[in-house]
Amino acid sequence: MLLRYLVFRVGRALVTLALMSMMVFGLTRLMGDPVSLLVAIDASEELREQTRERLGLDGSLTEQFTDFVLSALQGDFGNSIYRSMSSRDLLLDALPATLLLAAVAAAIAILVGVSIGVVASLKPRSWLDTVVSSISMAGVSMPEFWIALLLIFWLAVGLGLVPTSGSGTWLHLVMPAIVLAIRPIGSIAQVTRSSMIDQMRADYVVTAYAKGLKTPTIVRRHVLKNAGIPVVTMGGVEIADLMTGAIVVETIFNWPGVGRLASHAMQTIDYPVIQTVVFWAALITIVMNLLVDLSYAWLDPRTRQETR
Amino acid sequence: MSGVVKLPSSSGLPLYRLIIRDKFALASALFLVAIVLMALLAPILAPFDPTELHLRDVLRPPAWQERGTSLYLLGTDGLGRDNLSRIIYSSRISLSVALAVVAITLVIGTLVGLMTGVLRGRVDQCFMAITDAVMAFPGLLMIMAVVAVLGGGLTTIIIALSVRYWTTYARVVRGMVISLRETDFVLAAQVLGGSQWHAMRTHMLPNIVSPLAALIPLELGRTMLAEASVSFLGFGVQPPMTSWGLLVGGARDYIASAPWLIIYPGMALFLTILSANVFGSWLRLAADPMHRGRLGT
Amino acid sequence: MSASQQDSTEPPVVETDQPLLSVRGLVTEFVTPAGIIHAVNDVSFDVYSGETVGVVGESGSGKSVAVRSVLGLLSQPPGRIVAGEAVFEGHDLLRLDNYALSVIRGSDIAVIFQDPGTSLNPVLTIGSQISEALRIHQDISRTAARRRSVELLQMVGIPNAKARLDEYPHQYSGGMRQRAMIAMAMANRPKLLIADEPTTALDVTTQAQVLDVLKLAKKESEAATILITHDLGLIAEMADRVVVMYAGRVLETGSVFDIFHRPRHPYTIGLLASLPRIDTELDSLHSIRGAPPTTLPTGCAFHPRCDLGKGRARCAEEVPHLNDVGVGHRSACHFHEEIKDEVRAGDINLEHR
Repeated sequence: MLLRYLVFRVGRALVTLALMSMMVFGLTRLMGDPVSLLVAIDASEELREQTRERLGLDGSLTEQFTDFVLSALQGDFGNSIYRSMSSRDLLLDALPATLLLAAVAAAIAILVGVSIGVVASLKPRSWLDTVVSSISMAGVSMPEFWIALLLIFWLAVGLGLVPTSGSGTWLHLVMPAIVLAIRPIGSIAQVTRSSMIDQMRADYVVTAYAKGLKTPTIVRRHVLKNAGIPVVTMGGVEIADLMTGAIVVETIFNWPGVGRLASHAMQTIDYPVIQTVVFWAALITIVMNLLVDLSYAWLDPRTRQETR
Repeated sequence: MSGVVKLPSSSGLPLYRLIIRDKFALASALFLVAIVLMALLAPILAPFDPTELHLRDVLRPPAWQERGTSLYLLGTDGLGRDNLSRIIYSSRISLSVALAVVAITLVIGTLVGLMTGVLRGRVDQCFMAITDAVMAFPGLLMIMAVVAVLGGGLTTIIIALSVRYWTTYARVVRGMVISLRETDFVLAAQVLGGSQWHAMRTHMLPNIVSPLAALIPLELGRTMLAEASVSFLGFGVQPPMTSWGLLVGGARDYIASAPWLIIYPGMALFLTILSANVFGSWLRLAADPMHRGRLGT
Repeated sequence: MSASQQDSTEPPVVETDQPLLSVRGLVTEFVTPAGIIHAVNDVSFDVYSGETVGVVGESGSGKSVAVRSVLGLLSQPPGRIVAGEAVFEGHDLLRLDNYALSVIRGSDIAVIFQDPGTSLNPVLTIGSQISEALRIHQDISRTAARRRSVELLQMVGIPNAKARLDEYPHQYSGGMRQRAMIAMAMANRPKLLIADEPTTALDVTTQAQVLDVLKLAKKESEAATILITHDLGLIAEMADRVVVMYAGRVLETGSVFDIFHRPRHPYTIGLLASLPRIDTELDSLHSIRGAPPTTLPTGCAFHPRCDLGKGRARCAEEVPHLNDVGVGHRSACHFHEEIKDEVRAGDINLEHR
C-alpha cells in the first residue's frame, strides 16, 4: 500500500521534472544566442559556427534536448559557457552557501513563527493577538529588497554592527538570514495561529478540560499535533522557497549561493547553468513535497489507512 | 463550544456594514482607494514632472533635513528629479501592471480551470502536471527568462507575470468545479437535460464568482510584490517609465548617501501591498458565508 | 423510542440530607455581535447521591449549557455566567478558579459527551487517553495506568481490550467509541457523572448497547448521574427524577413517575403527547404548535405555544415560579391547578384538536 503510493508519487515527480526540463530548455533557447555574447560583434560567421559547435549548440533542438537528457541522467549537466567548470560543479560549489543561509533562516522562521502563532491563538482578539497578527501581515507584505537595503543602511552603515555584504563569517550571515526569515515568519505565524484557533474550538479539547487537564498541557499534548498539518504544509513551501529562490537577497548581499549563480547565468544566457539550477529547484520541490506528505502520516494516524 | 449553542451568524449584514466593524480592514480599504486616486490624479498631485531634471538641486534630502527644501518634499535623486513626484507617478505603473496581470490571470485561469474541471480525465491530468511544473519552477527565474525572451518593457513584464501566476486561479476554479459538480443541484440540472456547458454556466459560475473576486486584492498584492522585485533587479519596468521597485533599484548605489531615495518609494510599495493583503484577508472571510463567523478571530 | 409503560409503583427517591449538587438561580448568556443570547434563565435543581436526574428538553432549551456552566466548560468569551451558584460538596463551583476546578473535573465529576467521534482526540491512542485520565488524578505509574485502562475497557465490553488499547479512535466503531468514553469517565470513580446526550449520535441498536454499559457503570460506582437528553424514552428507562427545561427555564421537576403519569405543565403534556404510541391508533402525530423561541418571550416562556393559557394576560406578563404540586413535584405554571389528575398521554383533551 505504502509502496504503491510511493511509486505513484515518484512517477508524478518524474513527469514534473521532465516538463520543467522541457520548459527551461525551450525558454533558454528562446532567450537569445549566447554565441553573440561570447564573440566580438564583427566576428565572422565561421568563428560563430565554430563556437557554436564547441558549445554543442549546433544540432537541432530535439538533438540538443536528447543530448541534454542523456547526459543529465549520467549526472553530467554540461559545462558552463562562461566559466571553465562543469555546471554541476558550479552548482555544488554554490550549494553549501545557500543551504547554510536557508537553514538558519528556516530555523529562525519556524521557531519565531510557531511560537508567536501559538501564543496569539491562546488569547484571540487580545492586544497580544493584534500585535502578532500585525507582525505577520507586515512580514508577508514586506518587499525583501527594501528591507534588505534598509537593514544594510541602519545596521551596517549606520551602526557598523555587521558587514554590508559578502560572506565568510557568521556576522555576514546575520542580515541575509534575517531578511529571508521575515516572510516565512509571517506566513507560518498566520497559519499556526488560525490552525490553533480552529483546534482549540474542537470537541476533544472540551473533553480534555473535563478530564481535569490544564491549558498548557492541553495545548502541548493534544492540540499541537492536530494543528500541525497546515503548519507543516506551509513550512514545507517556505523551506523549498528558501532553498531555491533567494535571488534578490543573495544578489544584494553578494552571497555566493545558488540564487546569485542563477542571476549571473541569466544575464549571460549560460544555458547549462540555468538548466542545472532549474533542475535543482525541481528536485528540492519534489523532495520537500514528499517529506511533507510523509509527515502527514506521522501527524495524523487517520491518513495512514488511505490509499491515494 | 461547538454544537452547544447556535450563535447567530453575521451573514445577514451587507459587506459595507461588516467592514466598519473591522478597523484594520476599513483602514486598508480606504488606503487602497487613496492610492488609486493618487495614481489617477497624479498630474494634479505631483509638484513636478517626474522626468524633469533640476541639475542644480541634485541629491537634495527631504525637506525636514539639513540641505533640504520645501520645494522637494522628499528630496531629489542623482539627476535632480523630484522624489515625491516620481513616487506619485510610479503608482500608476505599479498599479496598472498589477491590475492587468490579475485581469489576465483571472480570465485565463478561470477558463482553464473550468475546462479541466468539467472535462476531467486526460485533460485534467495533463493540466495538473503542467501546473505542478509551473509552480515548481523558481518564480523569479521564470519571469526573468520570459523577459529575456521577449525583451524588456511593460507588455513583457505583464506577460511574464501572467505566465507565472495564472495557475493560482486555475487551481482554485478547478477545485470549486470539482466540488460543485458533485452537488445535487448540478446533477439535477443534468438529469433535467441541460448540456454540460449550460450546467457550468448557469449553476457553477455564480457560485464561483464570489470567492474568485474575494481573491483579487490578495493577488494584486502578490503581483505588485513580484513586479517590484523584478524591476528592482532591472528585468521589469524600464526607464523612462517608473515603478516603485525600479525607483529603489535605481537608488541602490545611493544607499549610504541618499537613503530617502530608497526609504520612501519602498514605503509606498510596502504600505500598498500591506493594505491589499489586509483588505484581501478580510474580504476572503467576509465573502464566504460559512466563514463569516470567523471574522474577528 | 416510544415511552415504555413503567411499573405503577413509584420508585423511592434515594435521599440523604444534603444534595450532592445543588444548583440555584443559574443564569448564563452568550455575548455575540448580533446580540445577547439568554441561554439559561434562572435554573435551579438538585442532584442527590446515587440518583439519576434526567434533564429533558428540545434543542436550544439550554439543558447542555446549564450543565456545562456548572463545570465551567463553556468558552468564556462569548459565554458568560451571570448569576447563580452550584454547590458541590460544600464548594460553589461557579466561584472556584480553574486550578481548583481541574482537581474536581475528571475525578469527582466526570462528563460523557454526545459525539464520541469528535470528543476523542483523533491523533492519540485510546489507551493513552484513558491512561491520561487516570494519571491526572492518581499517582500511578504508566504500567499500572495501562493495566487499569485495559480493565476499564473490558468493563465496558470492548473485546480484545489489550490490543485495542493502542488503536486510534477512528479504528473504533461509534458504539465502541462511546463506551471508551464511558470507561474514561469512570476511571477515577466519580461521584457525579454527567452524560450529555450520550446516545443521540448513535443508531438504535448501538444505543441499547451503550445504555446497558451506562447502567452497569452506574451500578458499579453508585455515582449520581445527570442525564441530558431530548429522548423521553431514555428518561423513562434511566432516570429517577426529571427536570423539564424550555427556553433556558425549568418548567417542571418531579419523579419520573410523576412526570410521565401526572404531568402538571402544558409543555410536559405536549411533549408526552407527541410521542408515538403502540397502543393507540392515531391519524397523525401530535406536535406542539409553534417553534422554540429565538428571543425570550416576556412572562412565561412557553405562553405563545400554550393551549392552557389561552391568551390570559398573566401568562404574558408574569414569569411563573416553580410551585409545589405534589411531594417532590413542582411546576412553573400559573394555572397548573386546572390540569386534571392522572392524565395519560393519549387522553389529553386539547381544545385545538
